[in-house]
Amino acid sequence: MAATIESLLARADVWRAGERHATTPTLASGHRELDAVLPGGGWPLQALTEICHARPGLGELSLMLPAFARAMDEQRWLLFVSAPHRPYAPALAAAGIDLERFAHLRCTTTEQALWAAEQALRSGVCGALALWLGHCDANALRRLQLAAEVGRSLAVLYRPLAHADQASPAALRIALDGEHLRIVKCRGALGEVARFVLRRSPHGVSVHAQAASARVLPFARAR
Amino acid sequence: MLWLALQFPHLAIDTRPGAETQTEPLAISEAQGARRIIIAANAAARVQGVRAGQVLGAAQTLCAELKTATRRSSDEDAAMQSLALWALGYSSLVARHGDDTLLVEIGASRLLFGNERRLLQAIAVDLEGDGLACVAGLAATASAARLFASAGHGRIVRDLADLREHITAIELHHGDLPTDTCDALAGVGVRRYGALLRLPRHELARRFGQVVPDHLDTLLGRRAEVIVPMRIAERFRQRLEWPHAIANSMVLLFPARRLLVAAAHWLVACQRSTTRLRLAFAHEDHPDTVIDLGLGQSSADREHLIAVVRARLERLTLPQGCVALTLELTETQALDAPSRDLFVRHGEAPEDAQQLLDRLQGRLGDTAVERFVVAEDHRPEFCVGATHGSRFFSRPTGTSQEKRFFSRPTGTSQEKRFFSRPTGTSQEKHRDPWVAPTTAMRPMFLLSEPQPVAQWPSFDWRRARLSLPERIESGWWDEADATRDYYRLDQTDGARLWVFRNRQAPHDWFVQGVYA
Repeated sequence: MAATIESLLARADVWRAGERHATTPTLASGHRELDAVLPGGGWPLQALTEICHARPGLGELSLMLPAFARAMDEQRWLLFVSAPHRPYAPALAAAGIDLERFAHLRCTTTEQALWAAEQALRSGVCGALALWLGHCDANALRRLQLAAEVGRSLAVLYRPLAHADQASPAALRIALDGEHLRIVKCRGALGEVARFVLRRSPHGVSVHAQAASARVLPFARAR
Repeated sequence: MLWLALQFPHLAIDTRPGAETQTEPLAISEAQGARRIIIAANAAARVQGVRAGQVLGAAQTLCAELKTATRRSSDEDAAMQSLALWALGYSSLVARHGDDTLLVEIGASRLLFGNERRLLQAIAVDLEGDGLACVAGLAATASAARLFASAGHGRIVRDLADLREHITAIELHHGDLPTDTCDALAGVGVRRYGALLRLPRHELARRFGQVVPDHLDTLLGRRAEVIVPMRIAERFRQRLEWPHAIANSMVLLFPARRLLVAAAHWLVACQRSTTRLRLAFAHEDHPDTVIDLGLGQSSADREHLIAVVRARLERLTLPQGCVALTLELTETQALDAPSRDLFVRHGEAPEDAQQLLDRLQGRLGDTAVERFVVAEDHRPEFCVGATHGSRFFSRPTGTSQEKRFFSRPTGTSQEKRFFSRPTGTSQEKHRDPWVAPTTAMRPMFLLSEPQPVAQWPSFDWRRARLSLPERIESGWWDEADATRDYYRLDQTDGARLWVFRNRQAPHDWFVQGVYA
């Protein structure tokens, strides 16, 4: 029996609550207080990060831009897939994104967007990829997660907040409502804090830990 | 020199898709004088005794249900042409001989491929993939190689001195001697080269013509043979036809693949790469469906071309079954210096970004991939140049720009595409020398058309907080005059928008950007 458990624990896709280490490499988010909490000290690479936001314009993209810019080191690319509007190049350039290695893929259907994202992630060309999706089934998310594991990319999926309650294979899930940022799920347990406040600054956003915050177990839905 | 002769005796059948394996016996015939002679027969017909060279009547007696088709020399010629282009990938000296034979000088390319065995293996692998029946001969002279191929002599004879002993057992009719000369020689009991070589030269020349000693001399390398090297066509355009209409676009990948392989051989042979290709699908009674495919970066790589075409075919719907396909390379350019990594072996190189974008564009459509550059203009909608497609132009730099500001020339077409308005209408853009780079924070998303605030979801003035205005006044010279006051607008639900109002109509507010 003990041997069975040992072999189970050795599996890469099994983790124990309370175990605070990253199973995949990470990339610093550029937000000090967030890095302090995330396992491995940053956004997970080779895994899917899901951001569920209540409405566009909350700073959901600004939150990721420092990491996107850093992910483009070593001549790698940044791809946006089916963004809700056309990305505005001056703002991206100001955030340190090299426009020569940036492209936006406009897709007409969810299937196309998923296909394109999967191809891009598997190719290993992208340092980072952001994908905007509405509804999609768990199977599609699973495929995305698998594709993200292949390339060493920062893969970010943006979805409406309504999906935050649904199951998802993403390694890190974040809910964004108003100025409140909440970590819904995190592979490799979190530190003390799971709630943050997003503050707008002239050059992006800054993330601050919310003072009164209970320790949140992984998977546990706060509130 | 080491010559490889590749003979494709079965070309007439092999160029017809499915003919060899079909269950009904089929023979290809050709009129020779008043008679029709069988050129080739498929497997089902050969079982019943039909052979190449038979008179049609004799063949029909042997096999009552034999179907015959007339030989299409143009198809065979196209196939041979394609094979010759392929062979140019292995040698710089390739010649066609007769209808069905290729001569490839491989002595000089042995080192490039490591050794002779590897080179021959590579050739054999390619030939297997083509599905064409082929016999090969390898010898120090071209005509001996041809003779070995035709006679099925499997040895490699590298040395001229050894040629003589190796040809002795081969029958005369395999060689290039005219048929009546062969018959005359057979009449005096000379059927093999061994017997012929024992006869005195002068007597042979006197009784059977100079052609016989000349033939022997060429064979043994004592007399130079005239070999006309392959010339490469200046443009690549090839057509493939098939008997039944194909409606499924994924089935069309097979003929397309064959054409693309030929195109890739052509590109390698003339050291060019392509940036644009055209596929024309012919229908029985409908105008052709024409697809133009642009590549972001020129390529001569067969697998890349196939991947791009495959992605395009996946979303192709044809109005009708397709009966023929034409591939044309509409834009080619000289190949750049080899960019392949010295230590990365072929086939292991990871896909590069351009190939990925090409593939995505092939599947998603020509306008799906957007690339951006920043242009100097205060008006936000002109501040960014978007280029559709994976092709990316670098920014025009130079001294002519100040001049252009005053003289308003129309600009080159490349700049026009480059600086086209996001709305789609092409308009000449001027660089404004007084524009200072703005430090104000810009939104991450810009709406393609400004949207009245009333139409913005969950917009509420009562919950809105405005920043100080930023006035943008520009464009009085190019009919897209803009005098606007821009505000950052924070809603209490956390959303931050970029809104403006026109000075002329201060009560109409528009959303133009989202601070995502």
